[in-house]
Amino acid sequence: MATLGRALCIITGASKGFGRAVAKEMARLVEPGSAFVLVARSGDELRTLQTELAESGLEARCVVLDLSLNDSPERIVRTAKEVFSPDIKHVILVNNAASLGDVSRFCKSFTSMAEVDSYLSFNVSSALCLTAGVLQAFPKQSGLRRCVINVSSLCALKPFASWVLYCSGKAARDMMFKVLAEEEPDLRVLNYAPGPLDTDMQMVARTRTGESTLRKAFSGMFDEGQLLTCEASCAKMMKLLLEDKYKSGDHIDFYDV
Amino acid sequence: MVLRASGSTLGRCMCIITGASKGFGRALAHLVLNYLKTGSVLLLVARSRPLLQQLKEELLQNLKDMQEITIFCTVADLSTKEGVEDTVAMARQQSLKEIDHVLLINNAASLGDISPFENFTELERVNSYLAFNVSSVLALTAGMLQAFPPRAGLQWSVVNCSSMFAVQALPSWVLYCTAKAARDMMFRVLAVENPNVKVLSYAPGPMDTQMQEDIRRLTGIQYHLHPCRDSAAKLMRLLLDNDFVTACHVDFFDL
Repeated sequence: MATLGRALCIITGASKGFGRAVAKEMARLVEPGSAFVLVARSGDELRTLQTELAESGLEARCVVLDLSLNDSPERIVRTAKEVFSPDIKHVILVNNAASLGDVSRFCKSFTSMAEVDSYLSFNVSSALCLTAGVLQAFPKQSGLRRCVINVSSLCALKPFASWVLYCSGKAARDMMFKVLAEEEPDLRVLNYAPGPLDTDMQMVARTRTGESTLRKAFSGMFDEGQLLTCEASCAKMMKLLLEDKYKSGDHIDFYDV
Repeated sequence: MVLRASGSTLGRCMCIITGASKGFGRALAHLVLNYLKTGSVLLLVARSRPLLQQLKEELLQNLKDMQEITIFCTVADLSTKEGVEDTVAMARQQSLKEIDHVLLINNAASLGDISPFENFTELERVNSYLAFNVSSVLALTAGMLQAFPPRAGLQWSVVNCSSMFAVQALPSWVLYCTAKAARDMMFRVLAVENPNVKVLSYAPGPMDTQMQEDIRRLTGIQYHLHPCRDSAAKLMRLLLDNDFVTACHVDFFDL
């Protein structure tokens, strides 16, 4: 069976939804001696996950923090360095943590710079700084595979009414990671759009979206059972990682695989 | 029914240009003047009071006979909430004027550090860059839309000064590319939400500006530069003809 090797997996937003599914799925695909760094704001849920991973013999550290605080990237990198060992041959960073922003409102209501700054800090800046920190901490070296994943969205490519923050943030991230892919040809960079997942985020989307046609489309998907499970989407992402044939920097959607 | 400015003027226009003190913004201010009908208001925004003042004097001298245009300067640092609010407040003072066109040109921008990706470990630096190049653009545009609500009889045009690097990734330019990509998408959402606001992401090409001088100094790369006024003229033609598809990304080299 193909595996991800002996890996250090760093996953943000690991407490629930897609991030949690990624942690659990990666845990099945890594070899003994691998380690996980699980990042989220909610300690309880992370610790439950940590226990589950421990039952599979995997070391997992929980880093409970708000990603948009100045020292957060550094704290995560420090923990990653603590669990790293020279036996580890694969470093995988999954930039998954994200927020929707206030989707009940339209562009012309975003007159507050503080609100936009705060959104971009969490959804764009923190992903850049964490990734930069991880790359510095685990520089290119022979025998070490490095993979950076950006959990993207259709919203990175297509505009949606009342979703200006989310669309702008996802478009920003896709470009950010494309630049990284151009700069570092030895790094594997994947912009993965997981599809419409059955998560807390989707619940907000279907109940709070300001644009009524869009809101109805989201709740329609929920009602018709068209939402994907995180596990199903995660499985496709793992397939991409294991086959390792994707072009670095590409945007790949669940429905493309 | 929305009145459209004829192909030869911008109508009685409330025109706001950010980053007006130098480079492309300054060239635009000079050019736009030719197309503003009497009764128009031109609001120039930048951080440098002396440069804005000098620009205003030049513009006043270039007015045609009988062309009555009011020109205001707002000295504002758009990376701050105060700068954005002051600019909107200044514009708001004109909101009772009889105008038939609002033209907002989001030109102010910065290059940011040109540096390998892995050097960007400090949140504050990245946040500061995005505040000026992304947040302020949304907040300013939102403020102007509230000050001059789109309605029948009021044409609304927004320009996002974009870049080829909103679309094409360039090594060591992560801040600039990321911000330009965010802006292009932001304006696509604006267009979807507001069918009566025409949105244009215009990539002006490499011009003879301070920004290009900085690029040359930092990267050693010398692009073939075009005069600002040539690029401004292409943008002006797009705005006057007004038949571009809203929210499209148009490059200087496409025209």
